[in-house]
Amino acid sequence: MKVALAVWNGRISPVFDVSRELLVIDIRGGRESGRTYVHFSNDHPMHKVRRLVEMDVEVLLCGAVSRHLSAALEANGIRLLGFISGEIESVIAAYLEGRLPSAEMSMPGYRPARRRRREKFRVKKGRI
Amino acid sequence: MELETKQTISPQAAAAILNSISDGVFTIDENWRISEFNRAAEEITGISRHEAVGRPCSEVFRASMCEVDCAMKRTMETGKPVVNRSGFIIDAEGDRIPVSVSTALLRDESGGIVGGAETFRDLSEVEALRRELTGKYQVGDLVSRSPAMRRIFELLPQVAASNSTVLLCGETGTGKELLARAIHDLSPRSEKPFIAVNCGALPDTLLESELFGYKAGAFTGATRDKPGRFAQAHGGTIFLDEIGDISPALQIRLLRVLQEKQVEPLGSSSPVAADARVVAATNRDLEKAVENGEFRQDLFYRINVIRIDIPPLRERKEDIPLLVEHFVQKFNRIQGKAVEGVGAEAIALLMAHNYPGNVRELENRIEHAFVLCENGWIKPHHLPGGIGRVVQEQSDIGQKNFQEAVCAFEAQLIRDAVRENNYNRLKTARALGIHKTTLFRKMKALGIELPGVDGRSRRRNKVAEVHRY
Repeated sequence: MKVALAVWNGRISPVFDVSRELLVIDIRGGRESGRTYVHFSNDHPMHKVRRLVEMDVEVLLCGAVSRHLSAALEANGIRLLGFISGEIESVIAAYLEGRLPSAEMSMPGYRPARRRRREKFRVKKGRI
Repeated sequence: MELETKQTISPQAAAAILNSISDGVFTIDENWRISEFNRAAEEITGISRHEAVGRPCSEVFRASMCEVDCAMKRTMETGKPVVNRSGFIIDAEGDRIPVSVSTALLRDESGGIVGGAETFRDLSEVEALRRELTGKYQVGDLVSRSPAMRRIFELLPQVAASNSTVLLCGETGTGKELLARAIHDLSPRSEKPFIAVNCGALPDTLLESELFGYKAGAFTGATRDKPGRFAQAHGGTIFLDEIGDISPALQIRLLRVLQEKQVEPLGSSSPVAADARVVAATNRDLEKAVENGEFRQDLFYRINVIRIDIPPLRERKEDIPLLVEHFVQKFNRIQGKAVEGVGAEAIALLMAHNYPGNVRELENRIEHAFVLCENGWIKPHHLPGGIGRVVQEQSDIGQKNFQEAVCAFEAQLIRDAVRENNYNRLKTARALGIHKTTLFRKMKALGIELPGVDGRSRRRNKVAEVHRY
């Protein structure tokens, strides 16, 4: 499974809509098995969505993301964990341990509860 | 904003001053962490002061310029303030808020830099007003300021992002292919082919081989394999125009393709994967065609996943000046001319026309005018048919005597004015420059009946609705 992180200066990039660098990690058996850095050649939202789809990314961990872009990502089957902040390695560790989304790694003002409700809904749908 | 000061003020006074400012203001320390965050900043970002203070400014402010070209970083490097730089921030709800940003340095008493101050202004209202004033809205080659079309434009990014089949309904010339192309261009498939097929233009058997392709030897003259349009659109979008005109036999084949995402070229025994997003269009009433048994119900439901109804031009005449401007620019560019625009009289004539051929007809009229007009303004005599033709087309006064013709013209004028003023009688009377009692009297005399809609209340626009199933 591939998980992508929008990164900048060793941390999660603050705004995915304008972020240029992506760290794609391969996860096998709950562990990281490889990582690649990818640059977006332009800021067009659909270019980003397309690149993620081409790379078979299943989950995107990023900072603030506009509503339109998050709708486009989810419509293309990419699970989005947005409004995340923190250093790259701590975020990866938290993700692998299943601690995301979490209050301590969320951007200020963001209420992860809103997303958590959606997550629960999604899981239920999957089980049915 | 200049925040550098030598005068000592108490922290309470500083906080009171900051909170009294209607622009968002925050300060950062030398580690780029927020040290002050005023009330307006809380309101604009949706982030409280206690959540913001101590956090990296880029994670609080979340501006489009943070990563690419930080205004504060530039000020730190050059020592010069940045004034009114435009960008956007993303608030806690995921909304993009347009802002203008100014920066200044904070120095201690010895003149050393201890941080920076950033002020930002919410430009949402300015942006909304600007949009309201210019009213311009454009997606791809589609231009419109009408509420019905705007609603379509707003939904377009989400429609484009999904992989669902789209059905575009609208009269001929309303821009169905342009809309399909805009959907493709906004979609993740934009770098793959966009293949348009007019299903009404080809005989059935030809259309079948055109859509699905054939193998060598499938029929006489098939000397080599030919990939179908579905195969050509692999990874991209296939636009099936006039879908309502295809035969029942082809409807079944198309249904299978849509269901199984595979095509079987003529003469082939093995199916080929067809990963093409289907955008279909029709100017027919498909629901009625289903009722009459002319169109398969299962295929209708298969293509009617996201439906977009494009309103005809006569129902959005407010778009005519905008479209005219767009076409004038387009033809100036293509033909290398310097036509300034369409004069007021000519615009009035263009507005009076009913446009059975919709936007395409308007485009053709402007193209016609371009042939006759080298530069300057387009005048009525540059338009096809001139004044008489336009008046004749929009009413049926041709064969009547003088009195009947006057009545017919008056009736037409009143009907148009009433419709343009959203059935508001008083507004209509004002627009026509007559008293409302005169309007009522004339309407009664001419036998003009109005629908039960009262123009004073907000009328629900039923013209174009985007249905999602």
